[in-house]
Amino acid sequence: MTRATAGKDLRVLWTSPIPYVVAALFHAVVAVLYVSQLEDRRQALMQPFFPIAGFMLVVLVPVLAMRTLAEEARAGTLDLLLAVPVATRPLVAGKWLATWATSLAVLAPAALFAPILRWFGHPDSGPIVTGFAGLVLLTAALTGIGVLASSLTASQPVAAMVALFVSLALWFAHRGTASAGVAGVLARFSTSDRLRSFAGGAVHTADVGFFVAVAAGALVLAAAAVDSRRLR
Amino acid sequence: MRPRRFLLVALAVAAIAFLQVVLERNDRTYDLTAEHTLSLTSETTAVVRQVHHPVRVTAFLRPEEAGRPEEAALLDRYHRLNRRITYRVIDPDAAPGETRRLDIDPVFGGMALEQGTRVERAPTVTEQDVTAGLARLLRRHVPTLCAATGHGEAAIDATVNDGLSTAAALLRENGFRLRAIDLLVEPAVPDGCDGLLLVRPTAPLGPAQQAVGAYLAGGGRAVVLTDPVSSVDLNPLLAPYGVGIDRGIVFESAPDAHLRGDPTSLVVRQYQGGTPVARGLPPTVFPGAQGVTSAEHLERGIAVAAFAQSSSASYLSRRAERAEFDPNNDVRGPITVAAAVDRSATVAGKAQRTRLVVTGDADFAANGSIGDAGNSRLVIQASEWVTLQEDLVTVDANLPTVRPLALTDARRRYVLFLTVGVVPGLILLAGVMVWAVRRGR
Repeated sequence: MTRATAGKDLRVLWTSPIPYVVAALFHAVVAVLYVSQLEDRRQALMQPFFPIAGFMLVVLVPVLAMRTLAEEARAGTLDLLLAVPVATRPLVAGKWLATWATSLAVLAPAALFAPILRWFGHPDSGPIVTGFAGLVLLTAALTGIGVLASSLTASQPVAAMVALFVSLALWFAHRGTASAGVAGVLARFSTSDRLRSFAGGAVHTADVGFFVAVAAGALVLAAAAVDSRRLR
Repeated sequence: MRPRRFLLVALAVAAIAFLQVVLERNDRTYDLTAEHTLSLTSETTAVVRQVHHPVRVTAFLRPEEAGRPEEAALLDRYHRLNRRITYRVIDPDAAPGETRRLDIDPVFGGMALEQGTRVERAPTVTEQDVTAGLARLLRRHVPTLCAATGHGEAAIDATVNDGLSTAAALLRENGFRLRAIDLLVEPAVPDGCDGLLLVRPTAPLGPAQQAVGAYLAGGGRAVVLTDPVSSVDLNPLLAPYGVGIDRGIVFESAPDAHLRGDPTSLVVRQYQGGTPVARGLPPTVFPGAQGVTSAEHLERGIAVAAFAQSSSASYLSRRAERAEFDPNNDVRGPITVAAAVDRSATVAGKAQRTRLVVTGDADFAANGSIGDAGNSRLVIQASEWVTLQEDLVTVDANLPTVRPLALTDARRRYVLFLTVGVVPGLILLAGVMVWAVRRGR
């Protein structure tokens, strides 16, 4: 069921212009900003790339994920699906998997920067590997949030806006709370802080767990939201 | 949603949150950087493991400071290594009371380490400063280094190029108390001195020589920095310990063993003798050194480690004005320029241990050169060793290698063409092709 849903969603997604436009936009913006960072630093570093790419994913993944369930709800196909005894969790997991795979495919050409850096310098390969691992995990969490937002509404723009708001809130969770008592707690929810560790070359098991937990928690809630629709 | 289903969903979310809390508390870190720049050094680890009572580190950093996340991450590494070390990062503007209580400069910030009623301070939140602060807290006895004066020695408060004010500040930061003693007025080393600093005396020591000799014979410790510019003969003082000074100046011919254009500024990259003084020491620079000799036959109980030497392409010139080897007068290299002496003896049934570090150059420790390469570290390690504190070592953080990028204008244009033009263009082309194929069906 998961594989069938993922396959169908992948076909639908890649026959729409969305992933192509998103990918082209992502690479053009990231490349301009990253090359300007390289110019400033004159160091063979991949580290500045990851926060730029991470922020772009925060903005663009909600666009990729907005149609997953919202479009099905709008078109009435979700109610049709739920009318038959289909398990909700594989359905939601399949939609998440398709969007995650699409997001990773969008991200993939960015790996080109690694050989370019090697060509012009001697970068440390450790932070390159961990940085991309961090982006893969961040994408998983952002896709989860996108699917959850999409499960709550039948409107794609609303789903995208909700997902964008939540993703931005998590990205900036560590900001503006320096002296407050809740600073430490909020900072733990900061996806940019977690990504910074990966970009620096460190893998914290807690950071891996955080991204997995956000994705899993979002999918559990998304499945519950779809289920509640069945019961209406 | 049915209550049972709602409960199941709530339980699932709670289980995920609980697992994350467990992971946060038992976090493991894998540092994949080439130089392990995100890991604490083995020296720091050794010091941190000696902390058996709670230590609270307070870093005073403004929210807008660029390195704040990295500095907080550094403190977090100490906490993860030893949970007795806790930390907080506070804004000095937001907490003026704490800034005053811990005597931190509200403008420049800094760091305070508290253990019980004791407080140690440091100007920056770096691994060197945090570990040095912890080491000072751990140290029960604050060693006193007495700097000899009265015979033209380099002064510890002199800020001129050949003064020792920077070295003195560094030693204080590393937990030493410094005290100037005038051996001309009172030719005796006071009881409170854990070590004597004798740096480049330029006038004969007179009665002070006997006083220093008696101090060393009684198990005293000293760092003796001699220099070619001084004509004072210290050999009578050093001879009982199997070392001496070979006057002259070392000329170095090996290109990687001297500063460019200056064959008398030696660069020592490798150290011999396995003495703790040279343990983990980076290259050091000796700007104008004479030789340090060691006796062929040492008395029982004396060990000499000639740890810093010039290359075999060097020579000790007796006449500095002639920069060419004179086989009749000069000595072929390698020439020892620094040595550590350890003498153990039993006097009247009591064990005595004399330690000496002797160098053929004093400039390496002076304000003008102490910032070069590993010179400051040599000063600290020599002082630690003579005062029997070799377990408290100086720390160098695992610093990242500089990785220059040869990004010329032409290359930048090429990269931009490839990544901003070609890659997005190909992606859009793929999209157009898919659209065209679908339309054709």
